[in-house]
Amino acid sequence: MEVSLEADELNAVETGLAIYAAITLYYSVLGTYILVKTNVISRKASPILVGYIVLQWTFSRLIYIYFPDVPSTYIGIPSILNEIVMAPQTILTSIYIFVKSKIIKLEWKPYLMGYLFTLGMSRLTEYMLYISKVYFPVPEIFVLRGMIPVWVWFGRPGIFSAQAIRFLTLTFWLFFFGSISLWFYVWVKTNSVYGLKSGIFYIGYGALRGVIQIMLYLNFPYPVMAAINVFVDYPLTILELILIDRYRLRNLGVKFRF
Amino acid sequence: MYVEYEDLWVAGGRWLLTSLAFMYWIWEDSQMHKKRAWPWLFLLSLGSPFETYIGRFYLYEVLAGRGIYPYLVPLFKYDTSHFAEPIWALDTLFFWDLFHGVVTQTIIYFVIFWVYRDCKKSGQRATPWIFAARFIQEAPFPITYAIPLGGYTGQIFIMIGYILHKHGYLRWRKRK
Repeated sequence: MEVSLEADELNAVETGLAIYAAITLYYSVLGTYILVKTNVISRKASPILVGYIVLQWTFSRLIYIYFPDVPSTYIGIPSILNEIVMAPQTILTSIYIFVKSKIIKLEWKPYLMGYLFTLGMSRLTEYMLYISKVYFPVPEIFVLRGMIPVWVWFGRPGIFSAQAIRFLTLTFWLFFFGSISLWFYVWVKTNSVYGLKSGIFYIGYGALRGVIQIMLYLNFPYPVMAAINVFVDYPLTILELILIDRYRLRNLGVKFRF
Repeated sequence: MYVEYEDLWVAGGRWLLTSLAFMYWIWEDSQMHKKRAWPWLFLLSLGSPFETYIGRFYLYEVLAGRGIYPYLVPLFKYDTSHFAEPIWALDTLFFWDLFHGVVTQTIIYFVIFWVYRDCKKSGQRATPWIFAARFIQEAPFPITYAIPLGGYTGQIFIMIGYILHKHGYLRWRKRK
């Protein structure tokens, strides 16, 4: 016997959403408070940050309710939409940290214009892919990791990048061309971080990794591929961090030693 | 409710602390003290390789390629006659778990925040403390099982360690 509990369930859902909305607001305010207190952001910027987080959360939940066939935008858990929505945020966060802690210098105006352009492109891509219904279900062959080394920036494993681990989906290329301009700008501005040799190694390793991954995808079962994918990015993560550290300490007049 | 709408129950906002604040503080601290930052940051971004590997089998996109369609979940309505009646017990349990999580996280953030600010005031290096406090929260498998100091239990250890260190009872190196 089927019992209809629709009305009750709707109430339960609404109640649940209200609770999680309150927690989201709470975490946003708590985080912003701590960031203001430690002078990471200014007091004036704090409402923007709180508003952004709450809106982002609301947007992602609405997507889940009204477009269940589109992966919802998790906060910190991977999905295609997450790649699109969160990746620009990751770029912005990383750059903000590097600029504010005086590791690199950057002109904000053109950077932010690039950022907005990227975001616009990604939204457009998202919409186009949604209306064309082409990206679900995605065959495994398209769920590859980005082979272009700049993507390694937020492709590295870890706390603020774990969400951006699959880029060669059908969404990847459009999004890539949107944000490459942004990354080119940052790359040029931080060019001293990467010397010629390290740059060649960096790009070479990234390209090699991509080629190897495609070969593996074609020849090995998914579990093998998944295991290799977990470890293949660690060398680049270390290299990237070392290069930034070396540049930073050189500017401070300290001789870099491992 | 939890089965059908599982993916709705996600709270945002934590990335402010877990991604932005801790990462920023470590860079800034390393810059002030002219010390290298990469080993700390790398260990923090290490994540949990084993759990990541397992997680790869449940990727939203990959599942579809294997004939599993997780996006159909919100469209699924369960027949309550197949379940034990008091399903609300689960919801209550999850709610209290959620509530407990919020309290725990708040304590953790404030411990790290306090330690960081105190280090900055006294000119001490904050990075090892931030690293330790953050690392034990989400240590890679099987460290979490060998040293079960997740939640605020670990933070109490960190805080006691910090206070002992601050008052000279705990030192990294012997005094010359």
